[in-house]
Amino acid sequence: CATQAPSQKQDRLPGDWRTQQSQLEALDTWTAAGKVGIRTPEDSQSANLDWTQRNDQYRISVSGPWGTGRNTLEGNGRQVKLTNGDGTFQAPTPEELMAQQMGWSLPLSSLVYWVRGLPDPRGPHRLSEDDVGFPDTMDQAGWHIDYRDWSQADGLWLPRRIIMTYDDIRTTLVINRWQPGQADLP
Amino acid sequence: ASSDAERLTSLLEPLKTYSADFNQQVASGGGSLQNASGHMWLSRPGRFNWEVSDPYRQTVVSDGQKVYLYDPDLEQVSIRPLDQRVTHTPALLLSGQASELTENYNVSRRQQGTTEFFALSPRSNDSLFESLELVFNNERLSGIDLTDGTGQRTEISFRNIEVNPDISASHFQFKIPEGADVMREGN
Repeated sequence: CATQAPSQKQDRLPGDWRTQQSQLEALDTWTAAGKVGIRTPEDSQSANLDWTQRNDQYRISVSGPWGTGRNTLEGNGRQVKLTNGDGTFQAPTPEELMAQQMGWSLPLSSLVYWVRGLPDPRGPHRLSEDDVGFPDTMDQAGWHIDYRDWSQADGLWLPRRIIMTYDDIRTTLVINRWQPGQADLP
Repeated sequence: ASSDAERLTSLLEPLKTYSADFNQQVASGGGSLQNASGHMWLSRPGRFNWEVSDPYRQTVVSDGQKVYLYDPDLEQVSIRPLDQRVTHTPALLLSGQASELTENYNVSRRQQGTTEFFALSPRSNDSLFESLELVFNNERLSGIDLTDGTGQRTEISFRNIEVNPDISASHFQFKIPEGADVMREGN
C-alpha cells in the first residue's frame, strides 16, 4: 500500500485554516523571498522575487541570477515607480508599469490577497478546499489560482507554491521564505 | 591601462579549471536583499556550472554552446545560446578567453597588500552590469563584486578554492529533469 511519506514538518490539520484565517486577513506586513516564473506562448521568464509589504506600501523586486537585470517596483495605494538599469519610470498602476518595463504583469492589487490564500474582497470568487480545509483552487477576475504547497512561518500556514493561470498565461509563484510582520521599508 | 589588462590576463591564463564554494550577497538601497550560497565549477574556455543551493536552489550551466538556467522551484529550464551578451554574466566572464575579457572591458587594477582588484567596465553599454571587480588574493581568484545599472551591488566571495583540479565533463552537461518546462530562446 502507498505509505504516506514521513514529513518532518508538522502537517496541516483540519481546522488550522479556520483558526488562522482572521490572522491572515489581518496580516498586512511581511517580507517574502522566492521565485516568480511567467510562461506565455511567446515568452517565458523566471526570476528571483523579493516582496516587502506594509499596509498599502510595497517594494517588489525581481532579478536574475547574480542579482542582475533587477526591476524594483515601489509604491503605495496612490502612486508607483519602477527602477531598473535604464532608469526610473512611473505609471498610474503597477500593472501598467510592469507591462511597459518588464513585458509581463501580475494583478498586484489582488495578488496581495491571493498570496495569503485569500480572495480579493472587492470582487466575486469561487473557492474549493482541499481535504484539510485549506484553499485548494480559487477562481477570481479570470484567474485560476492553484495552491500547490504550504509552509509554516511563526505558526502561520502560508502558501509556498501558487500556480496562477489566465487564458494562456501561466505564472508560478514560489515563496521560499516568509517573514510575517517584518518589513524594512522607508 | 594595457599593463593592467596584461596582468589580469597573466592571472587568468593559467587558470584552466576552477572549483569553489561561493557566498553571494545582494545588497541594495533597502539593506541586503538575498544571501545565497552554493558551489561553482569552471572549465575554460566557455564552460561553467554555477549552482545555488541555499536558501533557494538555482543552477546555471554552460556546456560551451548553450547556457541552461534551471529553477527547480519553478520547474523551469531556459536554454540560451552561449553568445556575446551572455558573456556579461560573471560566470561566463571567467570562463571566456582572457583576450575576450580585455577586448570587451576597460581594465584598471589597484592593489592592497597581497590583494589585487581588477575593475572591469564594459566598453559596450548593453551589459547586464555597470561595473565588475575581480578580486585576486595571492594571485588566486577570491571574489567578484558587481554593480548593476541601479547601483545594486552583488558581492560574491569564494572559499575552499581548487585551482586546476580535474573536473569531470559531466559537471558541464545539463540533463533536463523530467516534467520541467523547457524554454528555448533564440537558437
